[in-house]
Amino acid sequence: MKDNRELQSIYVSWKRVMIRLSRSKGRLFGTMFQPVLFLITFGLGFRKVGGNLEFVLPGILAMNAIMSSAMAGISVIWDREFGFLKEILIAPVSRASAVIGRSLGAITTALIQGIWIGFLGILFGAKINYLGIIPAFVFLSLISALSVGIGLAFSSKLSDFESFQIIHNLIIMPLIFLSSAFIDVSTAPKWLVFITKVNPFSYGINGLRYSLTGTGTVNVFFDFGVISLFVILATIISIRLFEKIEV
Amino acid sequence: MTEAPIVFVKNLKKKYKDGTMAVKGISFKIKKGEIFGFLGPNGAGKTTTIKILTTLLKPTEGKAIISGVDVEEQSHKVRQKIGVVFQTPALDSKLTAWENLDFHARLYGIPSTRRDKRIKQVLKLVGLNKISKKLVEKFSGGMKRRLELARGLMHNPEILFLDEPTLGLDVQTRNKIWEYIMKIKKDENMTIFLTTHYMEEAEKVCERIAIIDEGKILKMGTPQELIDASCHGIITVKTKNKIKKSSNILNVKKMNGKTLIKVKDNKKITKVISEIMKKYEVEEISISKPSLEDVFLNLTGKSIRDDKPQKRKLRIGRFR
Repeated sequence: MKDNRELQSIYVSWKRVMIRLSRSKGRLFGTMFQPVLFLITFGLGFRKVGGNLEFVLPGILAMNAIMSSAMAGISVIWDREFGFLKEILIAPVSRASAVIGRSLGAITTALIQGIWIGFLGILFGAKINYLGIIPAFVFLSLISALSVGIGLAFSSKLSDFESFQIIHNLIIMPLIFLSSAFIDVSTAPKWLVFITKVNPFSYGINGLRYSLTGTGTVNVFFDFGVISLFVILATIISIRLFEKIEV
Repeated sequence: MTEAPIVFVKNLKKKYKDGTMAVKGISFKIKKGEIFGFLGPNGAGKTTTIKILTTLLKPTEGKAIISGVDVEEQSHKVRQKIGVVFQTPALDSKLTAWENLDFHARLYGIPSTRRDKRIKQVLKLVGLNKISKKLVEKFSGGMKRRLELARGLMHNPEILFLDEPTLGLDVQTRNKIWEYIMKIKKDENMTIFLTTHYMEEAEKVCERIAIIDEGKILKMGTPQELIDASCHGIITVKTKNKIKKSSNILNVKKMNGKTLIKVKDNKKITKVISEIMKKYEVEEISISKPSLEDVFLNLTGKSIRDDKPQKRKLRIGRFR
């Protein structure tokens, strides 16, 4: 019985994310058109300076997953502001189930967006390895899970509305741009390469890029190991912090 | 042996991180099936107490036990036994009424065979069954409060906590909410713990009241007990005679050509009136019965609200 309730909690937390996504016209619209913008600027716009679509497409996929999942994590701040968090906090289920459900919702969202972006990418002329789509999904999920964990951890500690911008601008954006998403390790200066190497997202992105294009990494299993480790770590930390929330 | 209380609180204290002592050692018991009210001004410690009892906050000191389970040690078990309506809404406004309740039902482990039936049942109880598919953001304040009431009872809790259930609602809606609360109490034989700073409402619905101010319980009892213990009814008489003190009269004062008589015992107020009517030639007589507002004023020396409510005046007759 108890297990059943925890599963129900995970399911309904996931479902809530999905319902909210389907009802938010603004977010749906943004989800549809933002990737187009990214593909045009990063993919086509930078083509003259050496960028190519196959390199940029995984970067865009990752960037989108990181941003949208971080947002899902940070949404705890919204729930706190609008009171719904109390309903979650006094429920007789573990808070871990609420965290896991929310993460799965974020991952599902990132995957749906990923499919759309991939489709657009192909439409724009990117050549991808179709056999790598399944591992690409795995890496995209891991990237998304890490990002939602970071968002959750921060928003469990920071309670005010303004912190959202701080988390987004000071944590999430640097993590995206100082990763291998848009930095080509083969041509970048050494110090920058070093930074991308300590950024866990880079391993997810390397794996993703390798799955889709067969380039950009030494060992895809190593990438998988590193990003998985960080996902586990971030999930544990975010659950711990979420358990400590008092309102 | 008397039945064990459903809520048992002993010497409960809460000190916030910033040093504020919000609750300074309170003790009380709530019996099964009782409506127990915490009455006090904003910042008295009402919400803090509710948050501790509903496991949202940990107490700094003291014990709180809900139907035999310690709130601090076994918060998980307590959560299943309680229903809560918070002071500020705790609904997801992007979900429909039904979806909000479904979310709750699943978290509280209501089996799928009973889930839909129970949702329908509670929606009907608060009169929202016709608009269950509407988004909550389209609801009025009163409707949201009713939905929260419905959600609070869904899992058949042993006790319902209502933190200022009528705060911010207009008078009509407030009355309606109380109607629903009384109905819930009757239909589900619910024990209810509520906080409010509306004196008249507390007096009307609560079976027992604790007056709380600055983190301490000042007095506890039935509304009538509280009034009788600390306030005296006043009879105002217009007469040419000079009224003398008697055994039932505490004191006599003259004011604006009228005589104010303070009775010793509120229960004997009618006796004093007939006494006066017999003895003196009375032109006009009225009584003002004390209310909880007076009790609060007497206990704390201040009014509970900034906007002072009108004193209730009960006119019983005019004699010429």
